[in-house]
Amino acid sequence: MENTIISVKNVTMNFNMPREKVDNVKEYIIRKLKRKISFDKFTALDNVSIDIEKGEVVGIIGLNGSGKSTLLKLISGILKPSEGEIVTNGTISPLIELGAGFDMELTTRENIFLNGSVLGFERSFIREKYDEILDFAELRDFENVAIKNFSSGMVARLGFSIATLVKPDILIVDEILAVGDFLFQQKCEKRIADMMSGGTTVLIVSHSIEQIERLCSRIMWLDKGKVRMIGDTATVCEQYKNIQA
Amino acid sequence: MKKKIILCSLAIVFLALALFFGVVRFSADNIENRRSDYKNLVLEDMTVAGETHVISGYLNNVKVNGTVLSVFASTAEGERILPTSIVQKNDDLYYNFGCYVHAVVITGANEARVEINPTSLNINVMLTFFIFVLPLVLAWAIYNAIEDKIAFKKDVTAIKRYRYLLSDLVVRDIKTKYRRSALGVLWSVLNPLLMMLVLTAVFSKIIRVEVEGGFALFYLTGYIIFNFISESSNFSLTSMINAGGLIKKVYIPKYIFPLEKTIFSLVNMLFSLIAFVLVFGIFLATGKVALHATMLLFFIPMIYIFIFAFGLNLILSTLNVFFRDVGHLWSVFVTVWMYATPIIYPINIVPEWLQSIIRFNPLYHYVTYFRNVMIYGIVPSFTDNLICFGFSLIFLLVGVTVFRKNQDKFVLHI
Repeated sequence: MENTIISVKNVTMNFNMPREKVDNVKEYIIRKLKRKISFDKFTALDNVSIDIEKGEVVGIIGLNGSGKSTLLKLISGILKPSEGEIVTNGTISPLIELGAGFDMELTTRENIFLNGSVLGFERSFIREKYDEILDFAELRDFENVAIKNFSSGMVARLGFSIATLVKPDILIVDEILAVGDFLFQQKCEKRIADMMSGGTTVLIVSHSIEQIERLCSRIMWLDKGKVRMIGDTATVCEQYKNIQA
Repeated sequence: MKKKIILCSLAIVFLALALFFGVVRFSADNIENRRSDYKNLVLEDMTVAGETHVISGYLNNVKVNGTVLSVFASTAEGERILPTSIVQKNDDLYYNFGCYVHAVVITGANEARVEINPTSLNINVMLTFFIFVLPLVLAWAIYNAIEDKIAFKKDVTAIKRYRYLLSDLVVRDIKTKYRRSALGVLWSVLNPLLMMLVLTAVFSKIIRVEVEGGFALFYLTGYIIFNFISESSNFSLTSMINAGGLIKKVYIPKYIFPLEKTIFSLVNMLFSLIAFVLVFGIFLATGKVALHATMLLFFIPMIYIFIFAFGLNLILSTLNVFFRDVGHLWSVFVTVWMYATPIIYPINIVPEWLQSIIRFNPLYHYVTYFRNVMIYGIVPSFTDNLICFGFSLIFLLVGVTVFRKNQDKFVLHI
C-alpha cells in the first residue's frame, strides 16, 4: 500500500473519568490503599479503522460526541490511542483550534513568529512569507497590536493564514471554517481547494453537510465512537440526512 | 508480567548490594577518619632527610614552613604530581590539595610525598555507588528506549525541527521576566552581587566564617550553581501545566518545555557569571586572588550541571502533572537542599559524620568542582569528573525514562 498516507488500524480510545478528582498524594495513597480509585470508562472511539490514500479528501461526520475530534487529535499525534495503531506518512498541518500557541499579550508580528515556530517552520521561511500572511489575514493595519484586543474572527484569520502557509502532506480541518465572515470562508475554501489540487490529503470535520458535500470525495460517519458507514459522498450523505430528519 | 518481576528483583538485589557495600565502606572509613584530624596542619623541618609524618584527612590549609618543591601523590591511578594551590597569608604559605589524602610522608630534601589512600571514603563510597547504580539505571533506560524505538527516534529528531520554538520561548521568557523593570537584564548580574554583599557582610563580619580566598568569591561560586538548580527546577515544575493550552491543540514534543526552562536558567546563570568576573577583577586588583589557567575550564561543570538539571526537571515536571503537591513540597526541599550544600559554609566546619553524608549530595560535587577551577586553580581529577558525570548521567537517564513513560498521559491530566 504505497499510496496509503494515513492508516488507522483498530483504534480504540478510552478515557478514564475518575468519579472524584484525585490530584494530591495523600488522597491518592489513601484511595490506593482502600482500593477506591474508581473510574468511569468512557469509550470515545471503538475499534475504528480507515485507510486514507494520498490526495483524498475525507469528511468525517457524526452527531456531537461521536468522537470526530478525538479521531483528528489521534491522527495529529496530540493523543495516543489506548489500543490499535495509527501510522501517518508525511507532514501534518492540524487546524484543530486556530490560534493554539498564540500569546495574547504579544503583538501580531511576534505571534506570527511564535506560532510559526510552534508549527515547526524555519525562521527564515516565516520572514519570507511574513507579508503574505498579513495580507491573507487582512491584518496589515494591526501589525503591532496585541492580539488580546482582537475579535475572535481576527484571531481565526491569523491562525488560518499561518497554518496553511506551507502545503502539508496532510491537512486536518476541524470545524474551523465556521468562524469568519462568508468572504473569508470562501477564501479559506479556495486555499484548501488549491492544496487539494496540489495533492494534499485533507481530513475535514464539519457540521455543515453542504460544505462536506462540496469538498469531500469520501465520507466516514461516526456514531457514538463506532464507524457507522464509510463510503462515497452521495450515499453516506443521503443516509445521514435521513437519520437527521 | 514475569519479565517485570525478574527485573524488579534484580534491581532490589543490586540496590541492596550497593547499599551494603556503601554502608560497610562508610563505617570503615569513618572509624579510620576518627584517628586523624589535621585540618590546620603545620609541617615543619621539611629539609630534614628521613623525617616522616603520617597524616590523613582532607588536607586543606596545610601550612608549610620552608619551601616544597614538588608534591607527589601515589594513587590507584599511579604516581602523579598533586595539583596544589598555594595561598599566601601573612608570609606563610598554605597548600591546598583539595582531595582526600591518607598519608603525607616527608622524606626530606625539599620533597613531600603524599599518598592518597586508595580506600578513602570520598572516592570509594561514590564509586561503589556508581558501579552498582549506573549499570542498573542504564539497563532500565535502554530497555525502555528500545521498547518503543520509533517514538524514541521521533522525539530525538524533533529537536531539530523545533529548535526555533525553543529559542523563541527562551527569548519570550527573558522578555517577560524583565518586562517593565528599568534595569532589565542587568538584574541577572545585580541580584547575585547584592546577595553576595549581604551575605558577605553577615558571614565575614557578624558570624565569622573563615574561608580561604575570602567569603565573597566562595559564596558567589556556590550561589551561581545553586541558584541555577533552584530556579530551573521551580520553573520546570509548572512548565507542563502552563503549556497545557498548547499541547492540547498542537503536537509538540513535550520535553521541549522543561528543556526550555532549563536553558532559560542556564542563560541567567551565564549572566550571573558576569557578576563573578566583576568581583574576581576587584579581588585580583587588590592581590587577594591569583589568576588561574583552570578558569578556562568553567564550562565543564556547567555542562555537568545542565545535564543534571535537565534530568531532575524532567522528573519534577512529570510528577507535578499528576500530583500538584509536589510544587508546594519542592520549595521546602530547596531550602533544605541549600543548607545541605556547602554554599555559605566550608565543608570542613561541619562534623566528620555529616561531611560523609553531604558527599552524597550531588550539588556538593558540582559546587566544589566549580570552586576548584574558578578560585583555587585545581585541575579536577579523573575521579572528580567521574562522580560529577555519574550523577548527571543517572539523573538524565531516570528523567528521560520517567518522562517518556508518562508523557502520553499528560494531556489527560492537565
